[in-house]
Amino acid sequence: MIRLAISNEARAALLNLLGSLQQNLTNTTTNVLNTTTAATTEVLDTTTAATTEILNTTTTATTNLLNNTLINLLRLRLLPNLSNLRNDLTNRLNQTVQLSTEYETLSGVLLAVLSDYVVLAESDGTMHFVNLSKIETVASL
Amino acid sequence: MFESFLEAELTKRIGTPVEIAMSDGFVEGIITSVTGNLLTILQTVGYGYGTTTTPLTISIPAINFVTFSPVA
Repeated sequence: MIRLAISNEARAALLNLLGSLQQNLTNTTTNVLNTTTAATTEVLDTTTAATTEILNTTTTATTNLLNNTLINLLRLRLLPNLSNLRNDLTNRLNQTVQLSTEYETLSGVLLAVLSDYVVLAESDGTMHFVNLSKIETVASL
Repeated sequence: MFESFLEAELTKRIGTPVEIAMSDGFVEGIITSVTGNLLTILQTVGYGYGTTTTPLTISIPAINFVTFSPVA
């Protein structure tokens, strides 16, 4: 052990210096902690906002998709049972067919069979969208 | 290429001239709107369903067929 003999003044000055060093250390630590807390809070806030936005967008998109699917399903359920007619017509795709409706009989190439209508094209480019539920007879030409 | 339902396909063609056949008659006009299963057209030729000056609303399930003529 080394013992140093110092005067009272020197001892007081030394203690003073030690005290101010401790204070500086505390202040610096507090500052670093405050800055870190602020930065972390900001990052957390930004992340929360972004996550909320993504969640909202996803929820809205999912809800819309589900609603549309439900509407289409309900529509298909509510339509009169046209599946036999639709199957028959699907077998005649790209053939020249004659479709009769109450108003008129149409002839042309059957381009497409959709959920509630079919597309018939004449040679001059005229296109007919025929309501499936209004088709009375079908014949291939 | 074509929409699944006639209503959706007609919505795509708002502003296009069409001929629409119902069971007992025929109209010609321009599609102005499609709302649910209702189609509204502005008639270009009047055959007895309303006049050419007022829009005509047609129930889509009542349509026999819709005809689109090629652009001249």
